[in-house]
Amino acid sequence: MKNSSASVQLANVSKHFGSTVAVDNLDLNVEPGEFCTLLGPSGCGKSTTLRILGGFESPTKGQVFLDSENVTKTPPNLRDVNMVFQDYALFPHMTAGNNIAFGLELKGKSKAETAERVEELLKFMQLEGFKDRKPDELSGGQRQRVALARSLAPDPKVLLLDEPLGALDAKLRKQVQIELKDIQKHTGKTFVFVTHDQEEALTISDRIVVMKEGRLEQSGTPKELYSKPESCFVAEFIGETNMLSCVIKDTENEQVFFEWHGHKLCGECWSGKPEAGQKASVSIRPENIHCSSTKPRGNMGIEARVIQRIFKGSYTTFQLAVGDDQIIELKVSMDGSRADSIVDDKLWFTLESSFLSVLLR
Amino acid sequence: MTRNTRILMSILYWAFVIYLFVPLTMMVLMGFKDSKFIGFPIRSWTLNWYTLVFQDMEVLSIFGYSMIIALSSTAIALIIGTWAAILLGPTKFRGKLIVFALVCLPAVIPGIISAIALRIFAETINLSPGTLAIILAHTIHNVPFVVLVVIARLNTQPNSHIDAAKDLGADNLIAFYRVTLPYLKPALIGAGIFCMLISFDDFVRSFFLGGYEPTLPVYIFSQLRTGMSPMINAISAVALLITVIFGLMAERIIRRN
Repeated sequence: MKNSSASVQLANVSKHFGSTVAVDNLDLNVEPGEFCTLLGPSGCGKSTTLRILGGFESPTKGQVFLDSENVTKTPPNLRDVNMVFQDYALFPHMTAGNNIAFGLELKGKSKAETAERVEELLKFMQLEGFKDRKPDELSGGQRQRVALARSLAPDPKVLLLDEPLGALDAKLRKQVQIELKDIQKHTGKTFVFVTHDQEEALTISDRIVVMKEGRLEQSGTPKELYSKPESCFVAEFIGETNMLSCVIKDTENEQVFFEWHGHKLCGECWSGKPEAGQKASVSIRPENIHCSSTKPRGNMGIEARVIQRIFKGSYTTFQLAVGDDQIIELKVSMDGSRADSIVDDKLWFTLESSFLSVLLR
Repeated sequence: MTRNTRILMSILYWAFVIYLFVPLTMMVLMGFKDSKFIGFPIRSWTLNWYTLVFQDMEVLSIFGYSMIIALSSTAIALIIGTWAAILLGPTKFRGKLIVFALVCLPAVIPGIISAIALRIFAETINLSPGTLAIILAHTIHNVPFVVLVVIARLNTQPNSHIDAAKDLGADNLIAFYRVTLPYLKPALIGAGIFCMLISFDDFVRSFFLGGYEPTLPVYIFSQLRTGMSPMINAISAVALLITVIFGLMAERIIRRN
């Protein structure tokens, strides 16, 4: 496998379709060899962004750079970038082998060279023996691998993937996610991957770019996005979370002091300027809430009454009444036996400041 | 479905099949009659009329002539029709609907009217009646069928096919030749055979635009005026056989794709 990869840069890119704004002033930098995922709900402009990178849409405004070369006006056939399409877009009249060879032939590679590269890729993708099959004689997973091989064949600097796992069933999908990650590591290529599945994004990405309504919402490593969300949207979109409404009392550097149901708590704010008196939401992940049936030492615990307990497999949801009898629902991740140990209708939970992300509204 | 309705349905079905095929069978049978006149009863049988058809150089050359006209008008119609279909398929432009209506018009204009119009047109451009004029007329009539069939197929092609071809380094022309055209192949074969049959069968346009050389339907018509000989049945049966063979071939080719 050859190794060539490039950085990708979108500078101030906007794309309008009539009066709708699909992409709005987007700045994006992808490092060479990085697995970067564009994540967002449908209609957030992630696919349009990918199509702009591929050259299928020209931006209304802004510029596209590949390494340092401005490719804004370069048509897709002259860009050193290949795309794996959502529906794979395999040519139905060609065999798997001919599909993979297509890009090589158009690059003017010799017959021997093309044949050698096709064999190499078939082997790499574990598709030996399927070379002479037509796409409709292959399973979904095999088609997906042929599509991937076809896009890798001309040795592009950047590979674009438009929800390529969308058509696979859940189990195969999990398996292919790992394979895809391996392939990316092995080839060292820059991957720009589009998905609306946050779990998938967390699994395979080096870096995730969360998009909303055509704008970049937040970008960072999966861990950063999960533990330091900068907006309610990101906190709720990635993983499970609990949102607490509160009013800010005081701030000190990144520490924010607030009151919640009569309890004085402290959290951290990762973006914006929190001010006293401001309304805010506080996100806490289910696994970071510690519950116990006995009152913890010190004055840390918040007392609550259990209204209902719902078993959901990997976590348990409690409906609790706190203080002034206002019922709140808390997702708490704990294993069954620990949840069962809470027999009384009373429990105490603690909210540690390092797990509380204060999000300004 | 109850038993009775099932029986009724199958009776209706077979009645329809008989209605379709009895006239054809009669025509073929008459070609084997050992007599100068068409009609029942058939007292003795002969293969003479068929031998005569294959020995008659005039009839054979007329078969060939009709075939050449069918082939050329089909070939031209396929090129023009595919071109028009690609223009009318995915791209959006002002007046698209008008262009589409104009392209399809020749298919719905009554044959006799279009034949007269074409005759007048041929005369204004100093095109004398004959092979070229017939090919022109048949082509105009064929184009709408090609356009409709090809557009239908084109609309089922995912946009991503062309995008993928371009992504892998194809320009518009290469993408068309290597991806779109193979995708259209079954539609082109189907439309082509259909056009050939229409052209082979056409009487009115050939009659109005023809020169001294008649096409097969024009020849059969002229023979009918001099009396109903079983040789006409033999000629028709051969024509029928050719048509059926074509149809079956087309079906096999389309199925293999």
